[in-house]
Parts: sequence; C-alpha cells; structure tokens
Amino acid sequence: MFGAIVNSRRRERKLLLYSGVYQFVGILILYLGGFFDKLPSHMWGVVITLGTILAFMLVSVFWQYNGFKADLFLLPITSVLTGTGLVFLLRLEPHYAVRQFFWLLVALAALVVVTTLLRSCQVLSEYQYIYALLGAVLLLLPIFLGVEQGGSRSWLDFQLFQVQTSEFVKILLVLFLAAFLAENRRILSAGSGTLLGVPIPGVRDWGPMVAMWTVALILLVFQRDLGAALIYFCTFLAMVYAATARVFYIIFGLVTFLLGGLSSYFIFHHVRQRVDIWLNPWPYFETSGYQVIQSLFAIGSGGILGTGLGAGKPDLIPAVHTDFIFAAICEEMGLLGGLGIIILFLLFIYRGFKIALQARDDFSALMAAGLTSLTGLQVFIIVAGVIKLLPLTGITMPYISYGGSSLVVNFILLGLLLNVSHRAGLNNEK
Amino acid sequence: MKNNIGKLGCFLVALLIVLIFYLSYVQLETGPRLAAHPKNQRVLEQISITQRGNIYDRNRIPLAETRWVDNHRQRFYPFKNETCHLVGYTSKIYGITGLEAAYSKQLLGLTAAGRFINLVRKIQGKPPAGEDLVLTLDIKLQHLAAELLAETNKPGALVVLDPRTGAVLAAVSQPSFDPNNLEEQWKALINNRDAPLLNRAFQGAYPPGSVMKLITAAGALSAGYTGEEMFHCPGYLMVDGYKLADNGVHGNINIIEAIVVSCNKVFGKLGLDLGKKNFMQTAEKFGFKQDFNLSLEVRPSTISSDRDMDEKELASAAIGQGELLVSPLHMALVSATIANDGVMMQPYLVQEVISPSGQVLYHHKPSVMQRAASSTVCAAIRKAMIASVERGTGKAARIKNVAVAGKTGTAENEHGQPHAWFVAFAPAHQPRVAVAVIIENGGSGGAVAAPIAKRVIIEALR
Repeated sequence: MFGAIVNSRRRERKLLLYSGVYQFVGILILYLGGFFDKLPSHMWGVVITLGTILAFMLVSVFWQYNGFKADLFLLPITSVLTGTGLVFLLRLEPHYAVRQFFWLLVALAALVVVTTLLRSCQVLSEYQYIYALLGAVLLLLPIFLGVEQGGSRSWLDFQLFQVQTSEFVKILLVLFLAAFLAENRRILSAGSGTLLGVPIPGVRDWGPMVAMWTVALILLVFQRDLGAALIYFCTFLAMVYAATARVFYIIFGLVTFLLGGLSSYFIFHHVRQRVDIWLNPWPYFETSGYQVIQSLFAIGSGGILGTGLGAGKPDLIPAVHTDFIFAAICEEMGLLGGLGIIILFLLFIYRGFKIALQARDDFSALMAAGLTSLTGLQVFIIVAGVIKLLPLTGITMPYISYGGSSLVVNFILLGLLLNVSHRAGLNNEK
Repeated sequence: MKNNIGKLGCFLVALLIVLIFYLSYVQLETGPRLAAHPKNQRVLEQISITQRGNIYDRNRIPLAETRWVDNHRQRFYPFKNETCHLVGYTSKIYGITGLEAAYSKQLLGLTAAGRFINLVRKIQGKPPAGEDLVLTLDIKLQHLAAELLAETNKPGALVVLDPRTGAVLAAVSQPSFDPNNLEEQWKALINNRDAPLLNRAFQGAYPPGSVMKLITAAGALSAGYTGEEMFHCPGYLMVDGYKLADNGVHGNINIIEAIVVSCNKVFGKLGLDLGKKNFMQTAEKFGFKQDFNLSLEVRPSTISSDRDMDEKELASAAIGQGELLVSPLHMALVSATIANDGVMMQPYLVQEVISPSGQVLYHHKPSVMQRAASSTVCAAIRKAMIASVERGTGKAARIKNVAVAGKTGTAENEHGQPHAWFVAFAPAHQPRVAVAVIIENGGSGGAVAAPIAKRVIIEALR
C-alpha cells in the first residue's frame, strides 16, 4: 500500500517538475524582456521561480510521508494554472506578483492543513448550521465594516491585507448544502403533494430556495457583487439537481432566476449597464464599455499563436491582472494558450467529478460535485464575460487571477476535493 | 445520485466546450477585424512606430515618401498637387485618402506577409517598416497632363491608359491641392465651389456628348449593320413630334462618315433601331454601371432614366445628350477597348507591392475584364476614328507620322458652355496609349480638348 503512494506521489512530482519548467521558461522570457526592472530587486524573480517549484514539491513530499492517497493530477494541474498566473502577474504588475507569491505560500500551507486535519472529511457533515451561521456573518460583515473596491463592497480591511469574505462564503455554501442535502435529499426528492400527477413540494421544500434567494439578493443589493450572486445561485442549483434530480427545482430556479434577472435589469442601474454593454459595447467605448472592448481588442490581436510573452499590449485593459487576466493570456499566448487554459480547467473538472463519483458517502460526493461545479461555473462565467459571450460580472479566474482570498479559498477547495479522493482511494483498496 | 452527478459533470464540461468554440470564433473570425480596428490602440502605436512604405511611379520615382524632419517622421509628396487625387494624403486631422488609404495595410506592413517581415526585422533589431507600392503611373506624363489642364484654367480631367494592359499611365483632376500642407489650406479647399478635393478623373459625372456615338455605333454594327448603309440627314431628327437638332445638314451619309462628322441624326436613328434593351446591353458591355474594381473610388457611369426611357430619351442617349453621366476614366476605357479590338482590360493602378527588403510581394498580371464588341466592329469604328482625326471634327489631334484615332464630344449642359470631350488612341493600328480629356464648360471638344490629347499622346509615345 505504501509503495503505491510513493509511486503515485513520484509521478505527481514529475508532473510538478514539468509545470515548474514551464513557469521557469515564462519567467526567463520576462527576465530577458526586461520586466524584472519593475521589481524592487531582480532576486524576487529567482525567489518566485524556485520558491513556487519548491513549495509544490514539498507539499507532494509531505503527502508521500503522510500516506495521502489522493488524486495525483489535480495538484500539477493547479500548479500550471498558478504558474501561468504568476508569470502573467510578473509581466503585467510585477509588485502584485510578489504579493501573489506570498499568498500562494499561504494557500499551500492552507492546503497542507486541510489535507492533514480534515482528511476524514465526513466529519465536516456535522456542522451544517455552523456553516450557515458563519456564512451569514461573513456575508453581512463587509456591509457594515467593509471597504469598497472595484465597485463592490465585499472587502474587509486588515491594514496589511484585505480579505474578500464572499470568497470564503463560497466554500461554506458548498459545505452547508452538501450536509443539508445529504441529510434531507430523500424527503426533498419525494415532494409532499401532487398536482395533476406532478409532485409538488411543500413549504419545507421552499425553505432552502428562499434562503438562497435571500443570500443572492443580499449580495446583489448591498454588496453590488453580481458575479458572486450568480455563482452562489448556480452552484446551489447544480447541487440541488445532483442531490434530488428534480427537474422542478431546476425549472423553478431558472424561471425565478430569469425573473430576478429581468427585474434587477430594470431596478439596478449597474445591472442594466452591464447588459447594455454586453449587447453592444461600442456606443459606450469612452465610458463603461471601454474595458470589454479593450479585452476584445487584446484577444483579437493575439491570433492563433499570440504576440509572445511580453510582446503584446494587454496592459491597455483596466483591471487586467484580476478579472481580465484571461484576455492577456489570449493576446500573448494566442488562441492556443487560451484553449490550453480552458482545457486544463476541463481536466480539473473531469478529475473533480471522477472523485465525486468515487466518493463513499452522499455528503462527500455532494461536496466534491459542489466544489468542482463551483470552480467550473466560475471559470465559465468569467471567461464568457471576458470574451463577451455573457454580460461581464467581475469575478476572479480561479488559481490564475491576482487575489489572495481567492487563491487561499481555491486551495482549500482543492484540499477538500483531495480529501474525498483520499478516502475513495482507501475504499478501493479494501 | 451518482447518476445525477455524472450528468452535472457532463453539463459543466459542455459549458467549457462552448467557451472553446466561442473563443475560437472570437479569435479567428472577428480577430483580424478587431486587431485592425481604428480604435485599437495597438494599430495607432503600430502606425506611429512604423516607417510607412513609399509610393513610386512606374520608373521608381517617389510620389510619396517618409522623411525625417526635426526628429519626427513626415510624409512628403514631391509632386504636390499633381498626384494628390491618386496618391491621396495622410493627415492626423482630416484622415487618409487615395491610395494611402486603400493600401494602408500594405504601407504599414499589417498584411500577413508584412507582419512576418516585421517579426523578422524585430529579431534583427530593426524598426518595423511598411511595404512600398509601385504604381503604373508615369510621372512625366502625369506632370505634362497636369500642366496642360492648368493652362485651360478650367476644371477638368484627363486619363491615359495602356489599352493592351489596362494600366493607368496618368490620371489628372483639376482643380487640385497640395497634400503637403493640407491643414493650412483646408478651409479654402472645402469652401471652394469647384471642389478641389474631388477626383474628377474617377468620380466626375459628365454627359458624354458625341463620345457616346462610339458605343451606339458598336451596338448598331454588332446588331447587323455593315457600316455601308446610307442614311439621309436633313439636319435634324424627328422623334415623337420632337425635333432633335443636328450640328449641320449632312445629306446622304453612312455610319462611318457619320462618326467622322459626328452626325446626330444618324446616331439618334440607330439608337431607335437598336431599341432600348439592345442599347442598354451595349452600354453595359462597354462598362456602364461598373466601378472597375480599382481600389480608388470610381463613380459608375449611369443612364438614369433606364427604367422608363421613351423614344425621345433613347434617341438623345444614343447621341450622348440624354440623362447619361459618365466618368473620364470610363471614356478612356471605352477608347482603349476599341483600340484593343473590343477586349476591355481590367484597369489598375498598382503594378507591384514590394517588401522593405526589395522582394516583390505582389505583381499585377493584366486581365481581361470583358469583351465589349467583336474585332470587326472595332476595326470599322477605328477606321472612322482615324478619319475623324484626319479630316473630321478631331483634326486638332493630328500628329506627324503617327495615325491617331479619335472622337470629339461637345456635351451640352445647364451650366453654360458645353463640356469639351476628346477620346483617342494611338498609334491607330498598334495602339499603345488611350486618352480621354474633358474640360468643363470648355466649349468645342475638337478645339479645346483635342490639342491637349495630342500633346499627351506625343509624350506618351516618346
């Protein structure tokens, strides 16, 4: 058994090494292109390169001696994504790259903690009301104590750094829903009455839906965080579907979503603005449409192979290092680079769902499916916004965008997913 | 439940696959347009760092070049107003026109080949450079034509073509402007009622007058007339009780002689005999309604009342006095087509596109646009046009030792004196040059336009 672990962790490190070489080449190109000059010291480039590779390797080694039997592909996949993120941050906003590097270390530490302390993840199913309470507090806190950034009021200021609490709520939401649905899914699936032969849910069934709506509305109204509201709601629908398979929930959810979307279009100025820009950004070129048009210019200028790292002009896009980092990737690495990133996320989703399907219990399965859906939806929503397939909602690109909270949360997510995988692996051996 | 999770997984994979397709669409389908969008800062920066390509005449004499003046690039047009309508101008304020605009991508090295060349140059540490254009224009001829037009002191235009290839050897429009310091003249230019910014050679719209009779004659000869049929000219033509006056009483006369003396009666009658449909078809074979695909804007020649032309209008159109509007380029092309035995060559202005390192990236190969008439028909018309210069209305274009074929036109219009037209080609039996001249309100074509054509032909054949 132990030999199998050693073997799979070794393969993991081999993959991590490839990822490290990839990142090293990227940073080398930036060094040759003179992008290090904006750093406080050239040494930071070396520290970031070696530090990242070393940190990922250490996690893998730690797991090996710890007997961690989780999926061996997920960590290399995320390391390529974070590597791409770091390279592009170094290219776009070098001092952010240094910060992001430190956040990455924090995130990897969080990953180690999660995969050590919460390895038997079933324990987590017992605290559903704590998650709900904690989530509510984290959501409400910024409304009273928060600071505004980029148009949404969802940040807590800790002097040295700021925390976007809604990022943490994502995980709490998935944990809560997984626990709640695992416990109640049989009752929810059955429905409590029928109308013309179709099962109709009773008041009890409406409860979670209403609660979810409240959460989304709080986000939308008080924090003006359209993206988070959208993700919460979609993740919720995905998990409810996975747990109950009741099309009623999906239809009801989508209908209310459309109604909500339509009414918020008429009520909220910033929602209407986003939609108008999406339909036709050109009349707003000088104002609100500027960002997405610049994004399209960047993507269009990339072509198939891209301009090459450091040779494009993605810095013309406002907020390129957070929400629009994908446009920068498309300009400098071209269509192939952009597709590569999407394919990496496809692999991530594939592994995630594979883990969910291998899971031993309902809670773990739902949690894994929920966490993977969360990542997939987030990628879909932000990329679709950047390429103007959907209206733009300011959210980060998991593992790639600049943002400490986002990075840490996504590595915690990864840890939880790997814990499920670990238990499934143990299970298979019996 | 596992089943649902599987379905959910497939759904999410499908979502990302949608992204793959849409991203490919954005980057491949709309990408080139976005990359070259005028509001794309990358384009502006490319323009500001690129050494814009030069524009040369056929003998590699520069017509537009980029020079360094006080540490910044300046576009310089050595031949000033003589080439302004063709070459165009590049102004930060008033935009880009002419070939400068039509070939912007090449001049800035933004074509696929240009991008690759500039990539190589970048690696070599050289600044990006655009491609050069070599035009078909002969600047000596262009210069002479501009001078001759200037002497008339009237608006007008002149086009010289090589009938064998369609190459535009000269195209002058008067009045003109100096593209070197546009900003200072701009107000005067746009307030000038003679519209100096307009390229009359390609975009002018004039009644063709008797030049049209060449097309009517071609139609009649193609429809079965031999040219020997005799007509009687009493000095007018009665159509539906309407009297179309002639320039003289020509008595008994055949088609060939009718071209020589430019008899209205005969051609009015031929137009009626041809009928509206046949007449329109002949006109279209000779290039009416076409823009000639010339990279610069050309006004297609029109017969405005073609939907419900009555007999009287048809007869007027047949002698070029109806509601016809033609461009000088088109009339030069009609002349060139007759010279080329009825084969209309595709006119063109750009001979070659050349990379910064001197490689020829594009070379124009002469191509046939359409056949307008048979060589027998054209031979008959040619005979008449030669006679017209030797002893008819076009005597002023006679050149010693060279047979010139020509046709005058004196186009009545509402703005005073008639427009003076002359179209010609020479040497008549082995044509190397075809010309069209128009002087607005110049008077008689034979007296005003023919001498200009003569001097241009001499220079062109030299």
